[in-house]
Amino acid sequence: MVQASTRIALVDDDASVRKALARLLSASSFEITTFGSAREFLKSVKAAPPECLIVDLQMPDITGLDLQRQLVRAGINIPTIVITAYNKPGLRERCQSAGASAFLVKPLDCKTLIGEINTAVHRG
Amino acid sequence: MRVAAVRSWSCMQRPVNREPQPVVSLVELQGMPCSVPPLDGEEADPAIDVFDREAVFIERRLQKWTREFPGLRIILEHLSSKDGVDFVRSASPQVGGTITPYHMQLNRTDWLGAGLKPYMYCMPVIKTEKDRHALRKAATSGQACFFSRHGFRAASGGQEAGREWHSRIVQFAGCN
Repeated sequence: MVQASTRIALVDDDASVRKALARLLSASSFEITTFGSAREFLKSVKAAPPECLIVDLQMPDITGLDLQRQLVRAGINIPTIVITAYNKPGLRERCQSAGASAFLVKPLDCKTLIGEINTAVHRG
Repeated sequence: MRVAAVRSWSCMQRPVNREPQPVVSLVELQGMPCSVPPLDGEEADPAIDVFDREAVFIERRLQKWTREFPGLRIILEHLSSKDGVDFVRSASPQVGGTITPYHMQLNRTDWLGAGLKPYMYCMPVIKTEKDRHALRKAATSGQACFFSRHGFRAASGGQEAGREWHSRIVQFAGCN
């Protein structure tokens, strides 16, 4: 099991998902910081890199997949879990080949998410 | 479809008054509608007049919950007042409301106006003609946020109440 103070960053343009996930993960003793856009996250990532990143795939401006690629290009290696409400064929494979530790489809199952966070952090 | 029906609102009251409750976020993330049953959809404070409890519940709690849990879909069961109708309409599509035949058909004058008719007692209590009119208008508006969960159901009065309600509903249906 991951230590209680594991730092997680959540990037999702949907405020209700940010609020709900932050509440749930905080209740599971994770330290969570939320961002409404990939751009917002990129501004802070070098100063305070999280131990695990949860990112929504479909976002305006920079998508979750683009964010993953930008992080790889910048040499920033953060275990990443991609979440999405749109599960199209081939998306999972594309995200995994871009380096995602897990690909989860909304509605999210809390136990699965926490399990994937633990796995991703251990691997990372 | 899975629906979370919360019989005790103590867990829902906490996010407003105390710390947020992750269980509600869990329901929210699952996209599971949360049903507020009759009785629980009214303020339980005995200082509040029984005819105002739905409106006060909306003002004190539901408005806060919709802000606190923006992704939570809430069904307010058995709307009984114009305030309830107006709130559901304004908070739609996050909030929906069910309407019963008896709240559409009866007002408190039917219940109390010519001697007490105990079989017309139900919760939430039947309210004024203005409220009944708003409920009927909502029910026939075609708006998706208003629907009926129950068909005809006698809340407390057995066969006599059933017959009276049934005849009124037939009359209601006939005059629409």
